[in-house]
Amino acid sequence: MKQLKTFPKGGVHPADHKALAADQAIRRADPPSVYVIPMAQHLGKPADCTVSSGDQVTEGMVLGSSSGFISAPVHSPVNGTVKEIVTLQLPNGQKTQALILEALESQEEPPVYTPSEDWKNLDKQALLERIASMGVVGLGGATFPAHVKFTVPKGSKVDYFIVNGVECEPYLTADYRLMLEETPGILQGIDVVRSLLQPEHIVIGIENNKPEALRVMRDAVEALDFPVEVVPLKLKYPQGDEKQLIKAVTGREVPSGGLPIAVGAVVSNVATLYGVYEAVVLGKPLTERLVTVTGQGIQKPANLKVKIGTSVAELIEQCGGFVKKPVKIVSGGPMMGFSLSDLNTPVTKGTGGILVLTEEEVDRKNTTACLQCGRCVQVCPMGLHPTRLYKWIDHLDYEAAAAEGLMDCKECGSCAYSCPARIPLVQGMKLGKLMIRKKKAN
Amino acid sequence: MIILYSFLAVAVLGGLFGIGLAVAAKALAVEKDDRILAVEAALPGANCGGCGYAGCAAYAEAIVKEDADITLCAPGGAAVARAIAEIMGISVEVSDQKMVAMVHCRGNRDTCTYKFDYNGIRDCNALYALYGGDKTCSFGCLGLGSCMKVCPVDAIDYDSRGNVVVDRDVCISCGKCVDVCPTGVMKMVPYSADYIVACHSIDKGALVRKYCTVGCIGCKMCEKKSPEGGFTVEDFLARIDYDARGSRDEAAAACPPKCILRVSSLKPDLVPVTALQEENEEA
Amino acid sequence: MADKAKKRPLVMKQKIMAQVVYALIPLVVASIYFFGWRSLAVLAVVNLAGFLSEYVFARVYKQQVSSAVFVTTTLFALSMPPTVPLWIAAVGIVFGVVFGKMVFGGFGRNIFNPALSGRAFVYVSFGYPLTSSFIEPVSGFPGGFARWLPELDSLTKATPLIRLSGGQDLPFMDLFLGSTSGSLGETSALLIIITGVILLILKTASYRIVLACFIGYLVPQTAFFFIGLSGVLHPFYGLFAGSLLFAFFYMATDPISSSQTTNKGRWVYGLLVGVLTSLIRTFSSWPEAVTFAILLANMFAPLLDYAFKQAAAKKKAAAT
Repeated sequence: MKQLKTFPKGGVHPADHKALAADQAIRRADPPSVYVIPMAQHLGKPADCTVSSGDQVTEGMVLGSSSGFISAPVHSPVNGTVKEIVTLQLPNGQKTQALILEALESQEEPPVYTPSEDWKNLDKQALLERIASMGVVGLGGATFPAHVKFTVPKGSKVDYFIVNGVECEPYLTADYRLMLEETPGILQGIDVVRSLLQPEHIVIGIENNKPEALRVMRDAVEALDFPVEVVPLKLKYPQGDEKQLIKAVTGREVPSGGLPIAVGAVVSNVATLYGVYEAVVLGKPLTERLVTVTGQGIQKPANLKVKIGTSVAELIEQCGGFVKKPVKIVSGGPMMGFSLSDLNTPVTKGTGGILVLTEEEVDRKNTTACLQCGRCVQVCPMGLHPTRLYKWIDHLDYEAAAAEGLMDCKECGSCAYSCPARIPLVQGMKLGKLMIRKKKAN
Repeated sequence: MIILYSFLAVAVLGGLFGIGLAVAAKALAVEKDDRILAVEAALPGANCGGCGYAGCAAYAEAIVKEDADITLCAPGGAAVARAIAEIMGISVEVSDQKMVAMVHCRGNRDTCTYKFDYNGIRDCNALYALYGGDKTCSFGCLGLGSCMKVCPVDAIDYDSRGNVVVDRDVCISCGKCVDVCPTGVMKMVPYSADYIVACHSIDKGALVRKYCTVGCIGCKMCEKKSPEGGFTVEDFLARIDYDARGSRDEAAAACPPKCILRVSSLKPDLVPVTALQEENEEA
Repeated sequence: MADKAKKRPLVMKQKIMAQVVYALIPLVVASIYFFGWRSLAVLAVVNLAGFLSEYVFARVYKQQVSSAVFVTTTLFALSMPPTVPLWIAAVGIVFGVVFGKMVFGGFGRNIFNPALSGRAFVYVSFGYPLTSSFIEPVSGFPGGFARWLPELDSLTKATPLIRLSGGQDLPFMDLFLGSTSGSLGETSALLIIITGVILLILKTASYRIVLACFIGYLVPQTAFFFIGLSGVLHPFYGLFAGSLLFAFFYMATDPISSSQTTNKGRWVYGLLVGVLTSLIRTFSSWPEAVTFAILLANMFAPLLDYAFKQAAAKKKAAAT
């Protein structure tokens, strides 16, 4: 048998729990009556709010405009009235402006978009501008503004454009459903990005635990007028991370602190490419995203197309509510997501999943002392020494941790997952990075 | 005989090594600017790092070689700054007022409401990175004791109610706790301050009342009761201008949530180790 | 802080440590079979003394008692000879726990394996009662289950290892199954191998270290034997005599005191243990060489971790 590709260093194999929602076809969530729209939904500078309290807004209207190169605008998901502008504390502790939007009683028929080919006549700059103006960001979780990613720096050449269909986080199935149901859209998105990057090779990476997606994508790329390779990858977490995926597909290693373009690669998630398709081909701004609502605590796990600004509580209700007593509700995947303390938290551009986890699914045992067993070192895909870094951080010596590669940590959670002493290693790394950034800012 | 031999052997070896050391000390001596030594001697030697350098010796070197600001030594205060100025032959203007750190919050499990149960690293900055902390009030003391960890003289501890308190008689005013505190609830006040407003929340009064029973609600009672006391309410939070010399007793007595506290009452209690403390030291 | 009222349990729950204790249970049962119920008394005394000494320190440090202390005490008890005076066993474990572990700051911070520290201490301090009073184990049914201690007239003067180094021959099967005189838990090679392999499969112990230990021991030992140095053990017999297997499986793999953060470190550490065992057995008057070999290797563990980490960092720096 042919050896499947994967990244060589570290990695773990958590139980994937994808069966819960994998067979649930995408359905549209019922629109709520109130939306909460934060201005900081992407990496970089928050958007500048352009409306004020009492304003009438229509679907697709700009609510916040991009405030710099690494920034993105925010659009209204609905026809409605701006009730209030409040300060909201995001789960990461950051405070941001947010709009409370009340939907109008009677929504006009939503605009119907039809694909048009006119984008093919646009030049690169115009295409990028269109992507930027539609607020498209990386929907894999990092929410990095898409137009920045697709801008090739002068003097660089793209050898590989890698389409990320890995979805290595357990539980989440939104990308999987998207690949099955919206294949043409994704491929058109790839076509748009192809014209921007002009890559040598286009590769779609999918892990071999999704044979159906592999088959569908393989069949679909046959019909294209440009070559695209679909590569099955050996199951291993965190393969969906940019650096690991590049290593797995091309064998190239992104240098510490560098961007993928340094090794001639650009990686983009399938959901982002679908967003690009909607923005460029359909002219529709990013006001909706796919969210997997799953976990053993939810009545009917589902893959929902959700308008941004909908509250988590609303989604849980639409999925039949809780079946068992939930002990933890997580936004994102179980490895990298964060637990929610407030169900009124809105879905933002970065929300990939809502997990309702029960007692059996959550390990809440107490932290004990480090055993020095070295498991975290073995599983770290970046080749770091999590336990040593944690000790530096625990002793407040953040510079020493940084000198040993702390900033390379991507918080993938492999170390904390494998730690028998249940040390909150990832939280430690996050703290260390936060303190380093704080110090730099001063 | 054996005793004699071993005695001789050790004596000879000891002598040789001694000579070796003496020679090395002369031959390898490092030239050091006399002024560095003098400045170092003038510094308090606490090595607290409050100046931003690795320790007193590093600061002394920076003053002489890199013209670093000579007023950075908070523990030494005005006296040390003047002494250094004399050594360096420059003039300096400093105030004689000693500052100490104070926690401007009395919110704890009994007086505050909480958003969630936190079960992670016992570090305030780590907790603050999650929704700005587990208290519903996002301005207050998070109580995990990051300030205690960085305090070079152990001036900060819990009192019997679980509040974090600075002992102003131990504090050397290095300011490290102020730097590390994510909510900014740790602030410097003059050592001579008689009262502090033990609240840091700029939420509206109604919200503060919902979150906490001892938070300042911005009612301006203090302004009225002690007009000479230097109280001003800004952003729903009372502040004290310590240059005002009037009495502040009336205001403290009249304050509805009782958040104007006498500084002399704020001391880490020397009570037996509470469960809370135990948990914190474990981290 | 959330549950101030909830008291912390006295003993930390550590799954890995619990696994090791479970794995040791067959050895405890075997020690009762071979040497009578007194071995259980030794175990009880050692456990109590070890737990109390850790408890006292844990109180002062405001820590919890680690489950690892039971691994330490059980390993220590099983490495004592059957007739060991109970007070010596108690002194040994108190030394092991206090000076081998707690003075370094408690669980996870010790440099040396505490069980071995205690063992080395009593072997050096009380040489006579520990090395001259080994007794022949009981055999047949019901074995030691019906006795307090095997008959005293079966008192022999040496463990198989001492006998072998004295040039005597022993039937191999006796060595393998354990019906030879020796320490409480170290006599049955078969049981040690079975439980040890279970630990390897559970990944509680690192197979790299164990393998490296064996290679490190067998290569020089075989060389010495075939060169014909006087008094060299047959490498094969040496493998099954004394505490070698027991120490390789259970003590060399202790995560805290061994080199565990890099795979290369694991290999070098294991080789070091093996080679030192062979050297000390051959060239010194201490037949129980493996104790000292592991303690010596423990000293190098942090250095190995550091060196390999630096080397990796340099390689990475050179690559980019």
